[in-house]
Amino acid sequence: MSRALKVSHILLLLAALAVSARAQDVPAAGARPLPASAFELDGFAGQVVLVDFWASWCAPCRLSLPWLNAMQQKYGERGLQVVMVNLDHKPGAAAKMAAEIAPGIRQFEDPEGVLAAQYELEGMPSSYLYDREGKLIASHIGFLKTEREPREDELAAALNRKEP
Amino acid sequence: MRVKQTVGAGAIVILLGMTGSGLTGCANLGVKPWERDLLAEPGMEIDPDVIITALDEHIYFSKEASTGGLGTAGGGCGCN
Repeated sequence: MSRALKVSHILLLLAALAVSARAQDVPAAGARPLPASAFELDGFAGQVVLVDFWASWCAPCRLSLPWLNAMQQKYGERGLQVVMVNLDHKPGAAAKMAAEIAPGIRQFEDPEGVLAAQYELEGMPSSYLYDREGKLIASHIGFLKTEREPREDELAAALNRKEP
Repeated sequence: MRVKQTVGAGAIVILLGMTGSGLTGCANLGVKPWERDLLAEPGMEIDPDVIITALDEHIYFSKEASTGGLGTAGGGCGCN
């Protein structure tokens, strides 16, 4: 291998490292889940935010994953931000599951249940819908297939709501 | 007399303390919804094998001409 080729490889490697370091600064969908301490609702100002608490051992939570991903794909451009907070004690398998089923959604990990305790969850899954001003406009406990349509209507209405 | 009063006041304080701890002692018991991972495991189900239970129920019904009372489906996660 010539010296010039080696140098170019090193430069490429450095460039890739710089890009990955920058990506960690701004948490993106599909990236590695962030700790619960990094969760701030204010960070999504101006967007309709659906915060969903889930766990891999919870059957209705698993049922909701494809729907949540579909909603993010469908309404993301209009300002919807789905945020999933995983509550598994050992979040490794859950992170893999979320990356496979809901790759377009921002993920947070809360193995100690700190955020869950703050929200005083009463069941699994629990979701909270905030409007563009950060005001809580709806909350749901559990997930049924029959709820998909009314829940989507609720999201669409929140997105259509004019700012005061 | 003073000794009697001191003992009486002490007894009241102890009684109030015991009553207070009795009232609040169970307030923090229970599993939070996000802590039910172990309860959701298949091994925690009341009915560990649906097919065997169905066979048992069938035999029981055939012998006794009555059915039911053999448990319910689902684990303990409270989310099924």
